Amino acid sequence: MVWVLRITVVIQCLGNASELHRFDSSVFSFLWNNPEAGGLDFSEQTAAAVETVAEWVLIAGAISALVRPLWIVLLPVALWEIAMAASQTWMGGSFLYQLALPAHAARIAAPIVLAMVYRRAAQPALRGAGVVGAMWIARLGIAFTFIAHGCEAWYQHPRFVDLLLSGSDQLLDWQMPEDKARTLLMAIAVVDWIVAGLIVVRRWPAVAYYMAFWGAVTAVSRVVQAGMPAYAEALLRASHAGLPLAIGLYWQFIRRLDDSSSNSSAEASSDDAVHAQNNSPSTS
Amino acid sequence: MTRFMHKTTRRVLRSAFSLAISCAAALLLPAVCLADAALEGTNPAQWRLIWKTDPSTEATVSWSTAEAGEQHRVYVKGESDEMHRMVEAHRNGQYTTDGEDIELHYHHVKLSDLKPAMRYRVVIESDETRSPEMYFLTAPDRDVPMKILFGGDSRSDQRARRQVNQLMARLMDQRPAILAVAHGGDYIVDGRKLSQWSDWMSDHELTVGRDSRLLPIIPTRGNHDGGPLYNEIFDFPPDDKNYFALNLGPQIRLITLNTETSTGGDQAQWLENELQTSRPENRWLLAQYHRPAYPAVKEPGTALQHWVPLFEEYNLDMACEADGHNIKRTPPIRDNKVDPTGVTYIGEGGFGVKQRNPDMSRWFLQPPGKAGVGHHVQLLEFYPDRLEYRVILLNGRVFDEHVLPVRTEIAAGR
Repeated sequence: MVWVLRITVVIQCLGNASELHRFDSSVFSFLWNNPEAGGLDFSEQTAAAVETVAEWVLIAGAISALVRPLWIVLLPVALWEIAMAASQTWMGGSFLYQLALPAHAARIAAPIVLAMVYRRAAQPALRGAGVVGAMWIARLGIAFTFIAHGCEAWYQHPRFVDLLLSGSDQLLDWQMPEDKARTLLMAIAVVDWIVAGLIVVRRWPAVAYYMAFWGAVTAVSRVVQAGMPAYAEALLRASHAGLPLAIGLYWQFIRRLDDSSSNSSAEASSDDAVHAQNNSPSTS
Repeated sequence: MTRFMHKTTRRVLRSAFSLAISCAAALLLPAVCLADAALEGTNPAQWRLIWKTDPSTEATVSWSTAEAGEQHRVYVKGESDEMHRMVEAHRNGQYTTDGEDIELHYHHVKLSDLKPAMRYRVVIESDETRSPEMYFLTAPDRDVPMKILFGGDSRSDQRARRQVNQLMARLMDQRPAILAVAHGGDYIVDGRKLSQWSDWMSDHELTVGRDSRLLPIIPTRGNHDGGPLYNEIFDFPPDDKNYFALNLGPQIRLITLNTETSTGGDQAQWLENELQTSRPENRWLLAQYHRPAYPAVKEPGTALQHWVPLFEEYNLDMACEADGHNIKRTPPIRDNKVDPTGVTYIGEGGFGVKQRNPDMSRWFLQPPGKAGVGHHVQLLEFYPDRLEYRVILLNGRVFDEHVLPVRTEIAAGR
């Protein structure tokens, strides 16, 4: 489970850094735009310098996640994700920009969850408050992301319509009519909301695995639509698959632990019974 | 001591001078703003002439009033007409507000059965309050040289926006063959804020020429123009997808696309049909849309996947893009490389927005392409054998000029 989280954060950081290296982020937009547009009116050089620093923070995050996950490195990664989402909301100009923070919740949560879990990966600590708390952050993070994406699907995000059209065309060789894609998006929205609710209220690994599968499909669909140049867009969404996968694995692991401990305690109690029988005065 | 006295006196004088300048500016500023028609009662203001259908026979006159009023109409008279014709508004309503404490009303009059290449005088009337008399020219139905302006992104530098509008009016005064301005989108910062649109609409009055000529606008929706106001301002039906095509003359077709809805699906299908039909019938075929397929600084939009293959298949001549806040002209591109038979991409937006340095490492910006910064207007001049392109900066300097020869197969076919 911890390795799933580590790999997720590595991929997310590298994807983000690569995207940042090639294109401006919403943070750049916030820093550089003039106050009339909601920005801080920084010079282009200053805004670009901030992005360069962020790039290094993300690369350090990837290295740390791989070698030794540390709070001091992973927290700035999470803060950068928050800054990206907040500036997107503040600057507007994108479809349902008001939902940027919940939509980014999984990306924000992934490095935090990893930092919380890493030190407590030993068996006794897995039931401790730290890991349980981390899992709650993971569950809420992925739930918020699915709720936000559900809303975007429900309101027919043009990009989502195009992803469906391109996906069906390129993978199924079927030119899906746009109205069908729009209907399908509404069904996807409902499913997104249901699984988002279930991951919070139930501990069903199957739900987590479905979310991991769907998170991977939607991330990879960027590449299906736009080709390899969009690889970074897929990578930076690694947490949409990695986070629910880690949750599912954790639940299975805990269940197995519970099963084995209940088995061993049952065995122990039956041993005790045999032992007691053997030592009973009637048989002695 | 004396030096100190001198210094203090100088400082006091300097402060007094600054104060005087500030007061003068404060007094003069409202006077400058009064150049915009007053939004009081049913006084017609924020007039604009919109082209979305056949501009040789149709046009929409739109305006705003502060109060709803009851009767809204336009008096129109062509050069050859003996008397004014009165046309009632076909659509009136209150602009949608997004929690803002502002109330304005829109009015749209559709003028049809106009004659091509004709001067029409118009007076707008709302409840017996009239606008000054203005005029506009319809597009010609004969194959004559003509010009249009293109640009975009007027959202966040109002001072520059007003200057660019005045530049457009000046250019139209100097070159009467300029027929219209094609706006590539991002008029204001937040498309749901009526206060911002109201400023934009008032500023748009500055595009009226010195002799009261209205400059028609061909609108494109940008990513900052979300919400219902765009349709209310430019007289689109509430659920319209905002893509359409029109002829500026018998040989010049301009296709307006919408990057803010699905770019594949219905729109791509419509575009293919449109290109298939209009390519053989027009010497010049252009498209305008907001998010660039070949951006000078940002990430490519989905136009690259869904529209560019169609542009190339049907030999579009020029694609006019916005969104990037700079100036750009690519060499002709086909199959993602320079090809003389390809499509030339221009634009990126400087109608009143902070300018951003283009990423000159991108292959399509390097010579023979060109890119730069500065508030500007792009002037397209259409001739039988060539399309002349110029970028005119606020100071009147020409930043870039380029000649696009007519396609050989088109020239040979005529």
